[in-house]
Amino acid sequence: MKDIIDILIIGAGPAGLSAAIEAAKCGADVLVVDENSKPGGQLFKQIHKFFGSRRHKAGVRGVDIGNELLKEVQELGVEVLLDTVAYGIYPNDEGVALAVKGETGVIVHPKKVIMATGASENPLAFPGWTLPGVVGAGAIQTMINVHRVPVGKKVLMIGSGNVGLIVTYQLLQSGTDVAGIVEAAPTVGGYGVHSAKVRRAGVPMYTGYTVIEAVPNEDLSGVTGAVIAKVDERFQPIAGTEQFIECDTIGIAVGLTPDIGLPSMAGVTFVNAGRLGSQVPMHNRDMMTTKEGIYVAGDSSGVEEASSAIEEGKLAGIAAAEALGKIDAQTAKEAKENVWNSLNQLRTGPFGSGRADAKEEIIKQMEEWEVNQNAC
Amino acid sequence: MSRIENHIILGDLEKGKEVEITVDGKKISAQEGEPILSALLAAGIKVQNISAKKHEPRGYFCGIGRCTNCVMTVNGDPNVRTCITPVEAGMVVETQDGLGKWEESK
Amino acid sequence: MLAKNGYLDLEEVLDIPGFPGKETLDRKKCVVIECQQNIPCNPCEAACPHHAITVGEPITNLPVIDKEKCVGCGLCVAKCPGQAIFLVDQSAEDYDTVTLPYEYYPLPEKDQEVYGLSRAGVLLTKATVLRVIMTKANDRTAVVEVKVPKGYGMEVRNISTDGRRIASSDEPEMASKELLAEIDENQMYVCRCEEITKEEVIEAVRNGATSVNEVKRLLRAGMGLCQGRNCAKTIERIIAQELKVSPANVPQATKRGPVRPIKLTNYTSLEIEADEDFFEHDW
Repeated sequence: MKDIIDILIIGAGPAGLSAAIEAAKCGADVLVVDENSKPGGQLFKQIHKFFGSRRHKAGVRGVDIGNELLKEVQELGVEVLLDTVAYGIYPNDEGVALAVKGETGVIVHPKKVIMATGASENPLAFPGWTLPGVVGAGAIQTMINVHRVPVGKKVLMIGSGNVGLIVTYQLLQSGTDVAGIVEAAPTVGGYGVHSAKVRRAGVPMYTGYTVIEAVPNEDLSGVTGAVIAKVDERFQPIAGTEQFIECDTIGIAVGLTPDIGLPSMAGVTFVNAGRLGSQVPMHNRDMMTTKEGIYVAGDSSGVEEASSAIEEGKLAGIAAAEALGKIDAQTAKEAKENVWNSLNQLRTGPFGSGRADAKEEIIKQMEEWEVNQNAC
Repeated sequence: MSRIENHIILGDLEKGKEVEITVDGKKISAQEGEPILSALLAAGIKVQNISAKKHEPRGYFCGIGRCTNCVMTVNGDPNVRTCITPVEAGMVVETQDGLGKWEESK
Repeated sequence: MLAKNGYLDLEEVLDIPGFPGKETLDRKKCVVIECQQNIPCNPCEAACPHHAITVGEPITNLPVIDKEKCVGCGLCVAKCPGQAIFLVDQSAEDYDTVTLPYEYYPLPEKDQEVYGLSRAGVLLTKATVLRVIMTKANDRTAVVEVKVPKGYGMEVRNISTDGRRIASSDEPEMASKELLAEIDENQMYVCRCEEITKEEVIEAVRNGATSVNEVKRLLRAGMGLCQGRNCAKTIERIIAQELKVSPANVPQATKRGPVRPIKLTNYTSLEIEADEDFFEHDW
């Protein structure tokens, strides 16, 4: 490992790798760490073609975008340390603690830190959710697309957001049957084109339903199905509407929460950003948090999509390099404006504009926070 | 053994080095370097441990090393997250009872 | 309805700018773009060598078809990330054809008889495969043209080669009384590791706990192997429900390092000098 680290980037997903590429291009000494044995974060599980325009690599599959980013990182000679957990960050310049290859603890003292730690899946508790066979949608994706093993013969998916819809499609592609998609809201959560794909492949959609039990088999070693019921306007199950759906696996896809363990330890200020997460690190247009020199990017700064994570990573990378004096203010300004244009484009339309508003609100609160800090 | 052999997007499965591991006394084949969990799923094994208080079977939940629901006793060490621990030839894997017991590591 | 059922009804399709009109389809093979949601996306525009598809600025515009420019080549079909582009030809007297994107194995073969499915995945008719295009540019999305009986051109939107992935006509059975009698939400686990039930959490709140940390101290919920990763949100929600406040106002659990499960050797191998201040931190 290098002695002097200009920028430590935690997480080698789309945001972290993009940050590394931009920062390295500016001439910064960058170290990327990731807890997994392979880089790319969740990109390698995304085997569908991405939306957007050409500048967002639209039409390219997530897995291939991952490979492109990795190639660029390698060409720039950026060091990516895998199987390495950044498990703590300590105040008063005591540094960031890394568990390298699972065994050795090392403290590093980077000049800047970009936290691109992603998000974790929300759990959903219901009777029987602890039975073997009730799993997160991300776990299903990991098993079928990365490790190429089936998770079951027939899966019931809970949640119709893009994750639920995409994983349903990928299950069908892997040769697994899908018993249906259960959605408590009266309408489908994710993109219509994603739901249309699985509907025309025969997957039933239960909007306005909730799961009230995972039904155990005799020795509690698995599930035989699920009981679902219609919900009223307060999302409470309506008695008399309960149906039994046979399945051996239940997937939970009820949203993601920003992974904020490290930002919390760093003492950054959080803001409730609604759909992006109830606790999101407050940050400015450079993706810098309320702690000087600590940046966030990607899902850890508010849950969106891989394409926006890439753009946010670029912003953080450019801004951190600029703060280190690696590029002049004018060049940085132009580069960041370019990224913002691209980002704003992604945050449009009926799905994106809500995210744009939520992001602007985070930035506005940060500006107010800065004014208050200076007033003190 | 069941694996997703052919896939229109991912292509044909590239087989790695095949090794044997022992699960609860029974030998199963696995790919060297894959997570223990995926070898178990390929062999149709879904229960990883028995809960400590109520003694109910439990299986993996998150698949990426966060939730600890997939822990088993591996080579005598309890609480090993099988979803992120790579297979090595000859590993001895046991369904863990509760919090597990430390044996002399093999 | 797309919003409720997850697919477009025919009436909805007829209303979007991606539909070229019945008179066009009765005359020639032409593209039908079933894209209705203004998502920021435009690969279809560049995919057409004849400039028959326009998205323009902003890129959330729905694709608009110039039906005269479209030659029915199908180069756009595999380029749509949403797989929402089809070609329909209703010009023949006794049959229609549909060209659709297809990403499943086994791929159909020319002249094979397959099942023609509706937008809801319902079996409508038998269909005959006319061609299967799998070029490098399509990037693993096959483009399949099938011949369907007259009148099915705007109905068939998917195929099944092997009888799988077809909507079942059976409604799921109603849950039995015996099954329902066994369901007890109060006995549901909230904390998976320490096996703490919802009933216990509610009791803790009624005994005065108002935060996730207080519930933890009373019950050990969140003190197991996963360190609260799976239960904190549920506990927040139960407290909010009991105290009739918003979940956002429930004090969250303290987050401490290590933020991931690690081995103790990661601490013991640290080369650090421990002066007195050092121990004041929350390690």
